[in-house]
Amino acid sequence: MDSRSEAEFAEFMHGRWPALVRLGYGLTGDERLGEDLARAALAKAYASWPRVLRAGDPDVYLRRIILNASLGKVRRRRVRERRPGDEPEPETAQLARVDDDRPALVAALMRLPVGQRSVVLLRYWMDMTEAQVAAVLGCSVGSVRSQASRALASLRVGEDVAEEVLL
Amino acid sequence: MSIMDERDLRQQLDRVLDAIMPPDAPVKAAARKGKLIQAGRSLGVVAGLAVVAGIGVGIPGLLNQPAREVSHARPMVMVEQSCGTVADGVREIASSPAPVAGRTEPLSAAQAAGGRPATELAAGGCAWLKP
Repeated sequence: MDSRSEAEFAEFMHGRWPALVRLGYGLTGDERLGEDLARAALAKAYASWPRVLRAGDPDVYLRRIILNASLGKVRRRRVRERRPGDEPEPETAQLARVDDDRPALVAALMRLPVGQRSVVLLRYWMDMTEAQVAAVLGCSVGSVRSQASRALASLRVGEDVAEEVLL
Repeated sequence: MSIMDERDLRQQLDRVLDAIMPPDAPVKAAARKGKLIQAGRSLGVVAGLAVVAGIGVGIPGLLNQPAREVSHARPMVMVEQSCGTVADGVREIASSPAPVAGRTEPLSAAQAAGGRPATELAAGGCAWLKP
């Protein structure tokens, strides 16, 4: 990468870094994991910077990397935590902790399946349209709509019922 | 915790996530890791090309390998029924078969002719290889 592209990338990174870390935190419920995801996404963007720029929207690329990486982390954690003979855990409980000291909303988000969590964050925190969310997640607008609706329903039910589901 | 509606959810998300104050952007670390990823990709491409080149060179060589020459010379065998007398119809296994010993001829005839024991036959006979 030439010095002009390097400077361009550095400027881009400084501008996006806080939002990417927050997205990572919203997806994982862990600030450090969120930073890891954001750092990995930026490294991948650096490695393919000319291609990312040619594609037209670096933000979509970065968000997609973070979402895919968070899915990977959930899967790896699931494999690591599962012992031979254990019943498979429900996906909704992967990032939920019993001794939860996180904000109630983050704890509630962690109880959602990762797909619904992604939709909530992109649609209601990043203010993306359903079509934009569908483009980032690589699914249909209808799927985004149904996931958002289910996520809202789960979050409306409240903590008590969610805890019962976990137990 | 419960969410009343979409507006409420937006406000709560803003409040919770905006409270996160990330450290400075690790530009140098990300660039370093990005360069490693680039190097890994280049290495992968080179390795892939090497494998393709290896296949390109190796496969035709293997396909064009000349067939191993098969020896057409057959050993000459004499069979003797009871390891004592050479059986009737005992022949030399060659291009022009011919009896090599008579029924009453003792086995020693084959030995006397310079033959050597080869193998026991399934039927109980003996095979002798003629020199």
